Amino acid sequence: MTETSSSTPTPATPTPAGGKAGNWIIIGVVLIAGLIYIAKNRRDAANQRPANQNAVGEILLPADNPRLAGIPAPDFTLKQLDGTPIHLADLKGKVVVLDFWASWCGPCKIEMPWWSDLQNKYRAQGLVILGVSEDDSDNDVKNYLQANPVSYQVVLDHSTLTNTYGSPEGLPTTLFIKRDGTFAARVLGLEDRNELENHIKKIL
Amino acid sequence: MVALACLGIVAAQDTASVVKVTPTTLRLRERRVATLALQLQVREGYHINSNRPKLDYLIATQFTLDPQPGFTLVGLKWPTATDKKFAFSGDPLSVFQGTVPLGVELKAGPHTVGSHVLHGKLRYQACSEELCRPPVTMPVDLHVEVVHG
Repeated sequence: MTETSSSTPTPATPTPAGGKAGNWIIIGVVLIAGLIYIAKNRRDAANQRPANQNAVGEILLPADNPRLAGIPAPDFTLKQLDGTPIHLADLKGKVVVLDFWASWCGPCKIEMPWWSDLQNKYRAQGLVILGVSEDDSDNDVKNYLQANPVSYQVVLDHSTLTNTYGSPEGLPTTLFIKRDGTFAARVLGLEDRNELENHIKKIL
Repeated sequence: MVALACLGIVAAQDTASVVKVTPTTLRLRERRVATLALQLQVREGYHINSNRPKLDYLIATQFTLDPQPGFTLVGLKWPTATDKKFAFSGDPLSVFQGTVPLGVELKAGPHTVGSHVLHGKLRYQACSEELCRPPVTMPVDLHVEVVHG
């Protein structure tokens, strides 16, 4: 006797590959893509901000701050030990190096003789190096410089630059400013002498 | 996601405090003196000047206690500092590195039984071989349980 079935068996419904694991993978990919999208949009928005909005209080933020290059260096007036003021605006047309240092900063003192050499070497080409002291005590600065004279001008910060430049994350911090008054680069910490000279040569 | 989280942790550590203070509680008897053991942890690769640096322009590590009625700071027991030579210093400097145990001697006066939080400040200035961080004054809370003498 031949049997015939009244209905053909329903093929088994295939389960999605990996089941629940696959769903989590999809969710993870979407989340990562979302984060990348958000980060890119924030970076693009930041690059479109006006230069002065970038500059305020953020100049001395980490060296990989992509918004620093090309930003006009905010003007400031700082005094030397003898009280003579120095205005950054008066140095337009020069290549300016701002070396943030302090008498209690050992690594800073390694760089200071290099800055003296570089100032002497490139003075005629328009290099101006300003040593910006973060010391609280003018006497400490005076005593240190009497024992270790430098060939460039030293000015006293006394937190004057905090509003526009922010506080240094560490010392030494070096800012390189081009002849047009915009930032070229920022270096945090002790750097190789040749690298410091290369930064100068690039903008001379 | 894990990689992004790790990057965030690394980035945060770069700007985080170089010195961490482990919170601790001191139990002492009324009208008695006891020593609270504060543990300072200096981040690897950094040092802080000792409480008696060799050069007067170096910023000494200091601990102070805000006045609190009924309590007296009797003294501080600093550990032995390390004399260490660095590339940037001609002579060795007197520094603290790694784990720094600081003993804070306190006296609890009369009528102080109970729990108290004493407010102190730790001032230090840290450097690595390449970089010096600005001086820091950080608040440190001392938790004290005073029991009957």
